[in-house]
Amino acid sequence: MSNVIRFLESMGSDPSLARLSPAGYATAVAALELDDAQRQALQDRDAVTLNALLGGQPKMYCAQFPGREDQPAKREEQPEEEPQDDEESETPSSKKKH
Amino acid sequence: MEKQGSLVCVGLGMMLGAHIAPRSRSHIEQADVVFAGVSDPLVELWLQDMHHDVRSLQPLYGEGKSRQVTYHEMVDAMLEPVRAGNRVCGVFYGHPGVFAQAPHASIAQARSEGFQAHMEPGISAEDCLYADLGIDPGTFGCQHYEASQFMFYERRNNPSAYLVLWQVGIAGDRSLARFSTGPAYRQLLVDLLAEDYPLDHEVIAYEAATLPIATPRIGRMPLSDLVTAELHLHTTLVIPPARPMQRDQVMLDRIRALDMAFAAST
Repeated sequence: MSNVIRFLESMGSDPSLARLSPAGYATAVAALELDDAQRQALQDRDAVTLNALLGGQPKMYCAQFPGREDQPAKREEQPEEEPQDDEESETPSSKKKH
Repeated sequence: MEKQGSLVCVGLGMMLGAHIAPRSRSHIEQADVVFAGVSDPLVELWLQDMHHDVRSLQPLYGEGKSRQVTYHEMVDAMLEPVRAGNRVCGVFYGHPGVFAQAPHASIAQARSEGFQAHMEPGISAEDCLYADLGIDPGTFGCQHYEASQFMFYERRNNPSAYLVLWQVGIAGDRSLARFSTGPAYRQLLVDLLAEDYPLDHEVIAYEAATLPIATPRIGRMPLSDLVTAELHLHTTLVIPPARPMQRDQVMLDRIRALDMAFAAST
């Protein structure tokens, strides 16, 4: 585990670290074994730069849910008929069923 | 008879290091294969430090590709090693079963094929929202809808309760292939909401913090400003009540009658 991730994990789990004053935070970051770029990014609370330095995914998608479904994801009862489309814009593959 | 492979879907919570449950962490550490469906790249790196075989689900997304296809591919990806006899752990940000299709679908599919499968809850964005905004959903009631679904279907909104619209950044997207919709779509949403709320009614654009070095976004604005507001895929719209709760006198009278009958019988 990188020292940056370990520090973030500690901050997340330890309220006293999360509530550090700016000076206390700077001291805590200064005490970590990091290269200069990582230290500066952590000092700046710059997540984008930290991610680039650590080799994380450049772009993340977080959507996990469709706004509409042609079929319920699990075996839930669909009580009402869904509205008909007048100008279907989905690709055929979006109608794939389980 | 249950087969050897198994699937568990767990939630990491929203913030790196802050929300993961011991039980979920054990599932991750004890799995043969781990799949990652998280929203922050540093969180994904954190997860990679928990297990030697973490497979990101991110490559399954694509601009112009239906997310419905992506979600089906997520299910297929997680089921394949289950069928090969592995203990598989699907790790999702927040709660794996809240506004998340693939975890529910993969568990249902695994069970239908005779494999052991279950879900462990996590701290969701909804949970963070209540804490960060100081909202108790019990006070006035709280309605939750996916924003596009709220637009596509006739819902009975009650403006005396909170209204929370998820994925508001892609409100009105019928294709499931876009990762943002623009002001024209949001104007339609505002038009819809204006049936129940004045245009100067304060709404909140909310984003939970995913890192302990960040703070949640709590952007307050009048409803009319939603059209041009900066909204992301992970932005949630919170609309506080606009009307007081109305007493249901008919029901109250019926309850009172029951109370009197109960008192007379004792």
